[in-house]
Amino acid sequence: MKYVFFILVCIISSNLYADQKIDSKVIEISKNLRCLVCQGQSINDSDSDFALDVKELIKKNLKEGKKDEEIYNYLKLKYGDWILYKTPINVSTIFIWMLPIIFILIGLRFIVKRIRFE
Amino acid sequence: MLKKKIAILGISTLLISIVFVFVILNDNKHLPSATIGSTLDPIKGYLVDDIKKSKILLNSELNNEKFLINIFSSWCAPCRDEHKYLLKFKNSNIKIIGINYKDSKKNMSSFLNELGNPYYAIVDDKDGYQSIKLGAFGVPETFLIDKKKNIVLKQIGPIDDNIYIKFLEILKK
Repeated sequence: MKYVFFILVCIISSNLYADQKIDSKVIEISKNLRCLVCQGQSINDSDSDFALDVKELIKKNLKEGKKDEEIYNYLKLKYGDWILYKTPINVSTIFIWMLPIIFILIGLRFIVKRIRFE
Repeated sequence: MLKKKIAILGISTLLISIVFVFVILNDNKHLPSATIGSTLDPIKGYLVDDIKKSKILLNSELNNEKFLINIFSSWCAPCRDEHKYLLKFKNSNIKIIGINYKDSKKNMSSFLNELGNPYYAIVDDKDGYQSIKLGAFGVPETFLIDKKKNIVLKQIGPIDDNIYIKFLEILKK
Protein backbone atom coordinates (compact mmCIF):
# COMPACT_ATOMS: atom_id res chain seq x y z
CA MET A 1 0.00 0.00 0.00
CA LYS A 2 2.77 2.39 0.95
CA TYR A 3 4.58 1.77 -2.32
CA VAL A 4 1.42 2.23 -4.39
CA PHE A 5 0.84 5.54 -2.67
CA PHE A 6 4.43 6.58 -3.27
CA ILE A 7 4.25 5.72 -6.97
CA LEU A 8 0.95 7.57 -7.30
CA VAL A 9 2.43 10.70 -5.75
CA CYS A 10 5.39 10.41 -8.10
CA ILE A 11 3.16 10.12 -11.18
CA ILE A 12 0.94 13.03 -10.16
CA SER A 13 3.83 15.32 -9.32
CA SER A 14 5.67 14.52 -12.53
CA ASN A 15 2.48 15.31 -14.47
CA LEU A 16 2.12 18.58 -12.62
CA TYR A 17 5.73 19.40 -13.37
CA ALA A 18 5.25 18.67 -17.07
CA ASP A 19 2.16 20.89 -17.14
CA GLN A 20 4.07 23.69 -15.47
CA LYS A 21 6.86 23.36 -17.98
CA ILE A 22 4.41 23.61 -20.87
CA ASP A 23 2.67 26.61 -19.29
CA SER A 24 5.90 28.52 -18.93
CA LYS A 25 6.79 27.61 -22.51
CA VAL A 26 3.41 28.95 -23.69
CA ILE A 27 4.18 32.25 -21.93
CA GLU A 28 7.64 32.36 -23.48
CA ILE A 29 6.31 31.85 -27.00
CA SER A 30 3.27 34.09 -26.66
CA LYS A 31 5.47 36.96 -25.43
CA ASN A 32 7.13 36.95 -28.84
CA LEU A 33 3.81 37.21 -30.69
CA ARG A 34 1.91 40.37 -31.46
CA CYS A 35 -1.79 40.38 -30.67
CA LEU A 36 -3.22 41.45 -34.02
CA VAL A 37 -6.60 42.63 -32.83
CA CYS A 38 -5.32 44.58 -29.82
CA GLN A 39 -2.18 46.19 -31.18
CA GLY A 40 0.43 47.29 -28.70
CA GLN A 41 -0.01 44.14 -26.63
CA SER A 42 1.58 40.77 -26.95
CA ILE A 43 -0.53 37.64 -27.18
CA ASN A 44 0.62 36.82 -23.64
CA ASP A 45 -0.65 40.15 -22.27
CA SER A 46 -3.99 40.03 -24.02
CA ASP A 47 -7.25 38.37 -23.03
CA SER A 48 -9.01 38.93 -26.34
CA ASP A 49 -10.67 35.90 -27.94
CA PHE A 50 -8.02 35.86 -30.63
CA ALA A 51 -5.15 35.83 -28.12
CA LEU A 52 -6.80 33.14 -25.99
CA ASP A 53 -7.27 30.94 -29.07
CA VAL A 54 -3.65 31.32 -30.09
CA LYS A 55 -2.46 30.52 -26.55
CA GLU A 56 -4.60 27.38 -26.48
CA LEU A 57 -3.27 26.39 -29.88
CA ILE A 58 0.34 26.82 -28.70
CA LYS A 59 -0.41 24.68 -25.64
CA LYS A 60 -2.01 21.97 -27.74
CA ASN A 61 0.91 21.95 -30.17
CA LEU A 62 3.46 21.75 -27.35
CA LYS A 63 1.60 18.82 -25.81
CA GLU A 64 1.75 17.12 -29.20
CA GLY A 65 5.52 17.54 -29.03
CA LYS A 66 5.90 20.22 -31.69
CA LYS A 67 8.98 22.44 -31.61
CA ASP A 68 8.93 26.23 -31.08
CA GLU A 69 10.06 26.79 -34.66
CA GLU A 70 7.16 24.79 -36.05
CA ILE A 71 4.66 26.81 -34.02
CA TYR A 72 6.19 30.14 -35.08
CA ASN A 73 6.26 29.02 -38.70
CA TYR A 74 2.62 27.91 -38.63
CA LEU A 75 1.45 31.24 -37.22
CA LYS A 76 3.68 33.12 -39.67
CA LEU A 77 2.09 31.17 -42.51
CA LYS A 78 -1.39 32.15 -41.33
CA TYR A 79 -0.81 35.75 -40.20
CA GLY A 80 2.41 36.85 -41.89
CA ASP A 81 5.61 38.33 -40.44
CA TRP A 82 3.56 40.96 -38.63
CA ILE A 83 2.60 38.51 -35.86
CA LEU A 84 6.25 38.08 -34.86
CA TYR A 85 7.84 40.78 -32.73
CA LYS A 86 11.25 39.86 -34.06
CA THR A 87 11.33 41.23 -37.60
CA PRO A 88 12.95 38.74 -39.97
CA ILE A 89 15.65 39.97 -42.34
CA ASN A 90 14.43 39.84 -45.93
CA VAL A 91 14.15 42.10 -48.99
CA SER A 92 11.27 44.16 -47.62
CA THR A 93 12.76 44.64 -44.17
CA ILE A 94 16.46 45.07 -44.99
CA PHE A 95 16.09 48.88 -44.99
CA ILE A 96 14.82 48.85 -41.39
CA TRP A 97 17.77 46.74 -40.29
CA MET A 98 20.28 48.87 -42.19
CA LEU A 99 18.91 52.24 -40.99
CA PRO A 100 20.70 52.38 -37.61
CA ILE A 101 24.00 51.41 -39.24
CA ILE A 102 23.54 54.16 -41.85
CA PHE A 103 22.78 56.69 -39.10
CA ILE A 104 25.87 55.65 -37.16
CA LEU A 105 28.04 56.03 -40.27
CA ILE A 106 26.63 59.51 -40.99
CA GLY A 107 27.21 60.49 -37.35
CA LEU A 108 30.77 59.17 -37.43
CA ARG A 109 31.47 61.22 -40.52
CA PHE A 110 30.29 64.36 -38.73
CA ILE A 111 32.46 63.61 -35.72
CA VAL A 112 35.54 62.90 -37.83
CA LYS A 113 35.01 66.16 -39.74
CA ARG A 114 34.65 68.10 -36.51
CA ILE A 115 37.84 66.64 -35.06
CA ARG A 116 39.79 67.45 -38.21
CA PHE A 117 38.36 70.99 -38.26
CA GLU A 118 39.47 71.64 -34.72
CA MET B 1 28.44 77.75 -46.15
CA LEU B 2 27.40 76.52 -42.73
CA LYS B 3 23.98 78.15 -43.07
CA LYS B 4 23.47 76.43 -46.39
CA LYS B 5 24.36 73.08 -44.84
CA ILE B 6 21.96 73.59 -41.95
CA ALA B 7 19.23 74.57 -44.40
CA ILE B 8 19.81 71.41 -46.46
CA LEU B 9 19.79 69.29 -43.32
CA GLY B 10 16.56 70.93 -42.10
CA ILE B 11 14.77 70.54 -45.42
CA SER B 12 15.79 66.91 -45.85
CA THR B 13 14.69 66.08 -42.27
CA LEU B 14 11.35 67.73 -42.95
CA LEU B 15 10.92 65.84 -46.23
CA ILE B 16 11.76 62.48 -44.63
CA SER B 17 9.33 63.06 -41.77
CA ILE B 18 6.58 64.08 -44.20
CA VAL B 19 7.13 60.85 -46.14
CA PHE B 20 7.00 58.79 -42.92
CA VAL B 21 3.80 60.47 -41.69
CA PHE B 22 2.23 59.97 -45.11
CA VAL B 23 3.11 56.28 -45.16
CA ILE B 24 1.74 55.74 -41.65
CA LEU B 25 -1.50 57.60 -42.40
CA ASN B 26 -2.05 55.65 -45.61
CA ASP B 27 -1.51 52.35 -43.84
CA ASN B 28 -4.75 52.83 -41.93
CA LYS B 29 -5.44 49.40 -40.52
CA HIS B 30 -2.56 47.05 -40.57
CA LEU B 31 -4.28 43.69 -40.56
CA PRO B 32 -2.29 41.38 -42.79
CA SER B 33 -4.00 38.87 -45.04
CA ALA B 34 -1.30 36.24 -45.19
CA THR B 35 -3.65 33.43 -46.21
CA ILE B 36 -4.85 35.16 -49.38
CA GLY B 37 -3.55 33.17 -52.34
CA SER B 38 -3.01 30.04 -50.27
CA THR B 39 -4.93 26.81 -50.70
CA LEU B 40 -7.73 26.05 -48.30
CA ASP B 41 -6.76 23.68 -45.49
CA PRO B 42 -8.98 20.64 -44.97
CA ILE B 43 -12.12 21.58 -43.03
CA LYS B 44 -14.56 19.12 -41.57
CA GLY B 45 -18.21 19.87 -40.96
CA TYR B 46 -21.72 18.68 -41.65
CA LEU B 47 -24.18 19.51 -44.40
CA VAL B 48 -27.17 21.51 -43.22
CA ASP B 49 -29.71 19.17 -44.89
CA ASP B 50 -28.10 16.10 -43.29
CA ILE B 51 -30.28 15.10 -40.35
CA LYS B 52 -27.60 12.85 -38.84
CA LYS B 53 -25.10 15.74 -38.95
CA SER B 54 -22.26 13.40 -39.73
CA LYS B 55 -18.93 15.13 -40.15
CA ILE B 56 -17.43 15.00 -43.62
CA LEU B 57 -14.50 16.59 -45.40
CA LEU B 58 -16.07 19.66 -46.99
CA ASN B 59 -13.19 20.37 -49.37
CA SER B 60 -14.11 17.44 -51.60
CA GLU B 61 -17.82 18.27 -51.32
CA LEU B 62 -17.52 21.54 -53.24
CA ASN B 63 -15.93 20.79 -56.57
CA ASN B 64 -15.37 23.17 -59.42
CA GLU B 65 -17.37 26.03 -57.97
CA LYS B 66 -16.68 29.23 -56.12
CA PHE B 67 -18.00 29.42 -52.61
CA LEU B 68 -17.87 31.47 -49.44
CA ILE B 69 -16.73 30.73 -45.93
CA ASN B 70 -18.32 32.86 -43.24
CA ILE B 71 -17.28 32.92 -39.59
CA PHE B 72 -20.30 33.68 -37.41
CA SER B 73 -21.62 33.41 -33.91
CA SER B 74 -24.98 33.90 -32.25
CA TRP B 75 -23.46 36.29 -29.71
CA CYS B 76 -21.92 38.51 -32.37
CA ALA B 77 -23.97 41.63 -33.08
CA PRO B 78 -22.39 42.61 -36.44
CA CYS B 79 -23.20 39.07 -37.66
CA ARG B 80 -26.88 39.98 -37.44
CA ASP B 81 -26.29 43.03 -39.64
CA GLU B 82 -24.59 41.07 -42.39
CA HIS B 83 -27.04 38.15 -42.29
CA LYS B 84 -29.32 39.57 -44.98
CA TYR B 85 -26.40 39.65 -47.42
CA LEU B 86 -25.63 36.01 -46.70
CA LEU B 87 -29.25 35.14 -47.49
CA LYS B 88 -28.95 37.10 -50.74
CA PHE B 89 -25.89 35.04 -51.65
CA LYS B 90 -27.84 31.87 -50.91
CA ASN B 91 -30.66 33.04 -53.16
CA SER B 92 -28.14 33.52 -55.97
CA ASN B 93 -27.20 29.85 -55.53
CA ILE B 94 -23.87 30.52 -53.88
CA LYS B 95 -22.92 27.98 -51.27
CA ILE B 96 -21.68 29.24 -47.93
CA ILE B 97 -19.82 27.25 -45.33
CA GLY B 98 -20.55 28.67 -41.90
CA ILE B 99 -17.90 28.42 -39.23
CA ASN B 100 -19.67 28.65 -35.90
CA TYR B 101 -17.14 30.39 -33.67
CA LYS B 102 -17.22 29.71 -29.90
CA ASP B 103 -20.94 29.12 -29.75
CA SER B 104 -23.34 26.55 -28.34
CA LYS B 105 -25.46 24.43 -30.67
CA LYS B 106 -28.65 25.59 -28.97
CA ASN B 107 -27.89 29.29 -29.40
CA MET B 108 -26.78 28.75 -32.97
CA SER B 109 -29.99 27.00 -33.99
CA SER B 110 -32.19 29.66 -32.40
CA PHE B 111 -30.08 32.32 -34.18
CA LEU B 112 -30.60 30.57 -37.52
CA ASN B 113 -34.29 29.90 -36.85
CA GLU B 114 -34.83 33.56 -36.18
CA LEU B 115 -32.90 35.02 -39.12
CA GLY B 116 -32.97 32.18 -41.65
CA ASN B 117 -30.25 29.74 -42.56
CA PRO B 118 -27.98 30.84 -45.42
CA TYR B 119 -25.48 28.04 -44.94
CA TYR B 120 -24.82 24.96 -47.02
CA ALA B 121 -22.64 23.36 -44.38
CA ILE B 122 -21.64 24.18 -40.84
CA VAL B 123 -18.32 23.70 -39.07
CA ASP B 124 -18.14 23.69 -35.29
CA ASP B 125 -15.33 25.84 -33.98
CA LYS B 126 -15.50 25.76 -30.22
CA ASP B 127 -11.77 26.36 -29.69
CA GLY B 128 -11.15 28.70 -32.61
CA TYR B 129 -8.63 26.47 -34.41
CA GLN B 130 -10.63 26.46 -37.64
CA SER B 131 -10.56 30.24 -37.67
CA ILE B 132 -6.81 30.29 -37.10
CA LYS B 133 -6.42 27.86 -40.01
CA LEU B 134 -8.00 30.50 -42.21
CA GLY B 135 -5.91 33.28 -40.71
CA ALA B 136 -8.94 34.95 -39.16
CA PHE B 137 -9.00 37.42 -36.27
CA GLY B 138 -12.55 36.99 -35.01
CA VAL B 139 -16.19 37.29 -36.02
CA PRO B 140 -17.56 38.08 -38.52
CA GLU B 141 -15.19 37.33 -41.33
CA THR B 142 -15.89 36.16 -44.86
CA PHE B 143 -13.62 34.42 -47.36
CA LEU B 144 -14.10 33.81 -51.06
CA ILE B 145 -12.72 30.51 -52.34
CA ASP B 146 -12.17 30.01 -56.08
CA LYS B 147 -12.56 26.86 -58.18
CA LYS B 148 -9.00 25.78 -57.42
CA LYS B 149 -9.73 26.00 -53.66
CA ASN B 150 -7.56 29.08 -53.21
CA ILE B 151 -8.55 31.89 -50.89
CA VAL B 152 -8.89 34.92 -53.16
CA LEU B 153 -10.75 37.54 -51.14
CA LYS B 154 -11.33 38.23 -47.49
CA GLN B 155 -13.56 40.60 -45.59
CA ILE B 156 -12.78 41.40 -41.96
CA GLY B 157 -15.92 42.60 -40.23
CA PRO B 158 -19.51 42.66 -41.46
CA ILE B 159 -20.50 42.74 -45.13
CA ASP B 160 -22.12 45.94 -46.39
CA ASP B 161 -23.53 47.04 -49.76
CA ASN B 162 -20.15 47.80 -51.34
CA ILE B 163 -18.53 44.61 -50.14
CA TYR B 164 -21.55 42.57 -51.23
CA ILE B 165 -21.16 43.95 -54.77
CA LYS B 166 -17.39 43.36 -54.70
CA PHE B 167 -17.87 39.72 -53.69
CA LEU B 168 -20.68 39.19 -56.20
CA GLU B 169 -18.54 40.51 -59.08
CA ILE B 170 -15.81 37.98 -58.41
CA LEU B 171 -18.28 35.15 -57.76
CA LYS B 172 -20.04 35.73 -61.08
CA LYS B 173 -16.83 35.98 -63.11
